Amino acid sequence: MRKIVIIGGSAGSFQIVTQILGSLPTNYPFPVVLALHRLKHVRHGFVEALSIKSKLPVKEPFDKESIKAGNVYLAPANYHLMVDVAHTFSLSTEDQVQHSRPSIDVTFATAAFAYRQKTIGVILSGANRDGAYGIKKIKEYGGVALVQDPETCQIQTMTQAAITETSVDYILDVNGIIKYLVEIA
Amino acid sequence: MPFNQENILGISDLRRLYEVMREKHRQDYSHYAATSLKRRIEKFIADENISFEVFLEKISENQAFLRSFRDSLPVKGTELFRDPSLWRLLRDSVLPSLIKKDNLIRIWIPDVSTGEDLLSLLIVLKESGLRNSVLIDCGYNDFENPANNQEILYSSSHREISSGNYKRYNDKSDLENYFGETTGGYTFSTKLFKGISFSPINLLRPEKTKPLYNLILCRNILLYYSQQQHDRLTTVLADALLPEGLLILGHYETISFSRDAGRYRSINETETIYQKNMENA
Repeated sequence: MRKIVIIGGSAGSFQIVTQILGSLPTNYPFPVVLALHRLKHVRHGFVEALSIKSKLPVKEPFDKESIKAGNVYLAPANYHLMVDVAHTFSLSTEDQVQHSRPSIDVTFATAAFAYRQKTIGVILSGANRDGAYGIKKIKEYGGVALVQDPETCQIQTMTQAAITETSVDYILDVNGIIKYLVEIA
Repeated sequence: MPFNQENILGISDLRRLYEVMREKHRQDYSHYAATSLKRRIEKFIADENISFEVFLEKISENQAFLRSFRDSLPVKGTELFRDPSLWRLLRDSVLPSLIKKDNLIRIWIPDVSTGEDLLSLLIVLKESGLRNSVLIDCGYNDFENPANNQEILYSSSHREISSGNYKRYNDKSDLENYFGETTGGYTFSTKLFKGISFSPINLLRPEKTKPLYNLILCRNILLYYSQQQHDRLTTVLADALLPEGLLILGHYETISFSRDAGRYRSINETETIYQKNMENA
């Protein structure tokens, strides 16, 4: 089974995400899933903005779409994005989790269950505790947990919560995160 | 609602639940989308504060418990006028052009759920003066007929989100005009349900319907069913549409993975509107 890379953060981590996407090579051998807090009414523009620097195609997946290596998938506005055991996506309009929809916890926890030790979770700068539970689940299923060094975050709440909740594998600055993601390929 | 539950079910647990539901209650829960079903069951078990074994025992033997479990499963809607751009398009172009063609049109909402899309539609029709040109049929998946209630109660946060959506739909009026106040929320009188036909539907075992409808609103419902069930449901929906009738799905739902995809063509990708092809009878 191939690995899956899941990245969580809030809208403020946009620049870091673009930097990461710009550094991953074409034909990256794993799917990359982005669970980012975003405005619920703004459907258009985010994919386009992320695509500018990305060498990999960026898209918002449809419900039941198969997860394929080398694609970047962005959780749509106002939906939870779940990863299924069959390696497809499921979307959901269920209640907000941690005041968020999409919620990082939901994407991370379902990915951890579906991809087990092949899950690589990355928590970036963000303004609430969403993601802390998810990163814990990734560790419980034997996956790898990366957290952006809170010292390098605009807002530290999310990364600090993740570090407090779980003993994570790596606390890295953006370049360290990029180096890790490129080297596992 | 906290997601933090430690009672995580495995795939074999889910299979055991499917078996119980099939054998004892003749319901095939494998037709639900597994990932979100699993989460809802985990939440139910956590709220009941029981083990999975006890849960299985109780749903096999205790009717009241089974019922409260089944009542907890349908996903509630969260807002009226979700996706304001779609409602504007319905008001400005889709509904007027359907009515212009056929004078009296018939709309089906197969799963009315907690009523948000129905209420939004009724408000659109009322404000456009089109209510008398439209017949509406609704299915309800829950145990109670929504028409039996005097009013629908929503929470305050629901109200805030819905009013915000409505402003984006129509900034010249106010959704508040339609609602009554109550402690901790707001209500919508079901008087506007007059003339709507409600009938029970089990989307796990959908029945074939005659081609009756000019428009079907089925948004964010298919999300909660398996791919196999998608196939069945898109067939039922296609059968229920008149030739060139329209099917509106949620923004991230697609029929393109379904067996009957060829019976439709996409006419608006942004708002996920499909048109049924002309078919030889």
